[in-house]
Amino acid sequence: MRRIGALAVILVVVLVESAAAVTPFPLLTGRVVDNAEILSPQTEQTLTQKLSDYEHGTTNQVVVFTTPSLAGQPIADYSNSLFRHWQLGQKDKDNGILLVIAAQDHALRIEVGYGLEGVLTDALAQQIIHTIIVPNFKAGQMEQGVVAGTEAILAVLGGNELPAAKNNKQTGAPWIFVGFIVLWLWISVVIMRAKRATQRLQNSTGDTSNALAEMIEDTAKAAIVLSSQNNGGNYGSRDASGGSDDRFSGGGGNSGGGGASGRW
Amino acid sequence: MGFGTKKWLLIIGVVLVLFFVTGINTIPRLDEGVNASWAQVENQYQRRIDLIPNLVETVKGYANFEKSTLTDVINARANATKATISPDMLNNPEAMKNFEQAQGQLSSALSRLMVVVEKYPDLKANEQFLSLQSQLEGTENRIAVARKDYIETVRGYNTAVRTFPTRIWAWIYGVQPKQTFAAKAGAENAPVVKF
Repeated sequence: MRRIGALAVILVVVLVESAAAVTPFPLLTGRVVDNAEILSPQTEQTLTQKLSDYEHGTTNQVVVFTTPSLAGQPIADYSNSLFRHWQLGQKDKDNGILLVIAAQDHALRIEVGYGLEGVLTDALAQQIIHTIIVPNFKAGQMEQGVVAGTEAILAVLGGNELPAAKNNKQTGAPWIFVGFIVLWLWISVVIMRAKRATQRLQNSTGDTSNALAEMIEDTAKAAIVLSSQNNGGNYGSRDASGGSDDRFSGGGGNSGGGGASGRW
Repeated sequence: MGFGTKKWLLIIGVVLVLFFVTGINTIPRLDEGVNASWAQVENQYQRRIDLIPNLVETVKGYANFEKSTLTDVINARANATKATISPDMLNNPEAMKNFEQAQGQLSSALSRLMVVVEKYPDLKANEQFLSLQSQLEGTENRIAVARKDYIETVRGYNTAVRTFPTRIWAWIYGVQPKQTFAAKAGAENAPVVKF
């Protein structure tokens, strides 16, 4: 009896621990995430507006991200992980671009989604970095470098206008978000049940088999719900956030490490 | 009494249902994932192989460029072209080892070439060379990403093959764990602490 109680406690601890161990990616607060604070609010706003207009015209998602530090990670790894975490670009098009600037590391990268690799090639990305952004950064004009670099990216993308400017495409809210909510609900239910079961076992009044049966039943139910959620690939409509840009989110795009990196 | 038995029957029933619901598609689905991520690995390595003839041509044009470095690259490329793995050979450690060896040799031959290039300022300023260099860098980065993804999908697959209840399905399908890459690409660049 006591052993089962201990087991339940361990289960609770493990579940809580695994729920807490989430990789700390920065939040995608908008199209311009200036965590290194190198842009003035005004610049940030005009840049956001420009990128927003651009997406509405082309569905390409371009995001600018500045960070004080990469915490020792190579910028290529970091940019790719972040790109995938934010899922920039539309699903099935993978047409996202992420410009990463790490202020203290003096490193920057243009990470290109699969779908735009042919337009913004590595060589072009390299060119933008070395001929437009880095000279500005070296001269201490951080803000101007970011703005000019972003404009160059848009110019290159616009030169080869993609034949895809559909407005009512079903894309949007990443399924991973839905999955997390379901997972979280499931974990809290299991924890609650386990707690109750532990209590019951400690009081020695309950029936062990009943408590265990309840736990297994709940787990099974939750698992079935979870699997149906995942299989369904539940994509929300993007139209909800399409009008105003308050709740910008990635469209489910992916990147395989295209683009170029540089230093200044 | 009757209630207790019913409970236990329910448990067994739920476990059985779980087993069937979760198991039957897991292995084939993970298998497809592994194949897809392997295809991406080979794609990116192929892309690197395709870049090399142009690179060699560009470098060759420079008089008295160290011949041995170039021949190393050409030979390593030839070996790498031969070492390919089809998806059904992914559980073969020997094939994987050959593949790794051939690609690894090409990697080191290429990085030696890039070191030698440092001695030729004219070449370094050549526009075509710069373009090739950035493409090569981009390809190396894509290889790293593809390898990472492959390691990830194989881990998922092998976990399923080795753990209950999917292990039973693996036994039913008669599948083996797949080979993965020994070390992460770029691991050799990890900072070394010396005392």
